[in-house]
Amino acid sequence: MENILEKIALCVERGKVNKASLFPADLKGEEGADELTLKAINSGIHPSEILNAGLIEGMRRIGEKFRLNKAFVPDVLISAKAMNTAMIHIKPFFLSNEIKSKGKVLIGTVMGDLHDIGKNIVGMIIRGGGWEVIDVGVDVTPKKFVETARTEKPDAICLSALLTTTMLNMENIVTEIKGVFPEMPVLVGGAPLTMEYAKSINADFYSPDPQKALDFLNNIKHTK
Amino acid sequence: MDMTDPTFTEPFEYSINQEDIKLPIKLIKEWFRSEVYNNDEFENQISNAISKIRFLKNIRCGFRIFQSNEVEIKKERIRISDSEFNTGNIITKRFRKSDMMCIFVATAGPELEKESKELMSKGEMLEGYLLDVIGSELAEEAGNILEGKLNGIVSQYGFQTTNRYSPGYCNWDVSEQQKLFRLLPNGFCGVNLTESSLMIPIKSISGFIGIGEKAEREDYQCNICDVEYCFKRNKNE
Repeated sequence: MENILEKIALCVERGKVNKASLFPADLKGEEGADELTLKAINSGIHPSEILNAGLIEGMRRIGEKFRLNKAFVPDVLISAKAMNTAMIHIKPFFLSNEIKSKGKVLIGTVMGDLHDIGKNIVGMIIRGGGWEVIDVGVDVTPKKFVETARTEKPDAICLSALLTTTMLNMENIVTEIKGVFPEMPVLVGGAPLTMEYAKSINADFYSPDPQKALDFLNNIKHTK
Repeated sequence: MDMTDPTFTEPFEYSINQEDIKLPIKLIKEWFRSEVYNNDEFENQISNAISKIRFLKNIRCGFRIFQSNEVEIKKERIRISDSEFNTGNIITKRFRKSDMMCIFVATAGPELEKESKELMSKGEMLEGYLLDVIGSELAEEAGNILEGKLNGIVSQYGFQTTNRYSPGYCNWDVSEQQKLFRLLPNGFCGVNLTESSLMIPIKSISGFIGIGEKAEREDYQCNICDVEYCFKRNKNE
């Protein structure tokens, strides 16, 4: 059993989506996360085991490599694709409540900013860490963050900005969110941000990389 | 005719021909540093993506030259016409030997970023990212073509040019884009600025190029700049 879960973790870590996928070159022609996940389910391994020891473990590894600058944006993207492909087989077990996500996170790029690759990567790593991610898109107003939080009832909200000019819009968004949901953890991230800036706008956490954001979320879940 | 000729007070705007664009596979591969992509299949994928450039119709560049009587290089600021730019010490220093100033815009147009987003939303992450990267490099290449055109004009009069520098570089605040765009016609080269100083299409560049008899080009050096998380720094290191 461990062998197939380890293989799944390796496929996710290395971005081996399925047998037909061309990357990585050294795994060409071998089964990928897609086939192995199906095989694991059919062999009777509990889906939560496949999710935690296979898929989430693979994403944890790539997230860690990304944090250490040993993996780069495209590596995370193909890992996420491998994870998402495998998740198609796991999703029915979420619907039947046999497995549960760790919680729900709302993520969006703040008003005035249209950049989404950074936000998408953070979303992929968080989703890959076992969380449900509601992506509200780009150029998101304070009102939209608050309204979506009302309907979706997330456990945390993540804000992204790439420009020094749009970073300034975070303050208003944090204030609006905290005005309605005083206990809601708000995470901020993006190239121009610093911990000092995050503190100055009353955000709960600044994450310089996606894995740290996931660690923070896992920690709040643990302490809840 | 010399550089004070009224011809030079008008903006120059060009549509770029696909044949003039040179985007070597090697340049795109630099963004994909992992060994994973070191194979023929990926090279084919890049060259297929690059071939999409031939369908793009909005790759454009343009500039406006401001004469020496409209330009004042101060210690940490540059005045052009009635706008004063807080370019900071690092950038301003690079223009010390310039007498005139070129304000430029170059763009890859909107098509690639649209297709990139569509692919990503369908889960085709790598393919979408590849187009995003090509879009970024294409905007830079449009900037290179623009520099060639500018040099072609100014060299006839014995002038040289500096490198190009943009708001956002070396702590030159991005919000200064507002002043920069006010010195150009509305919708110049099909590029517009949002309130938050974001250029639309996103795959666009803008900035200054100094012009003068003694203006100099320098190798781009990350060590002159203290912006820690710049994408160029990450790429160069």
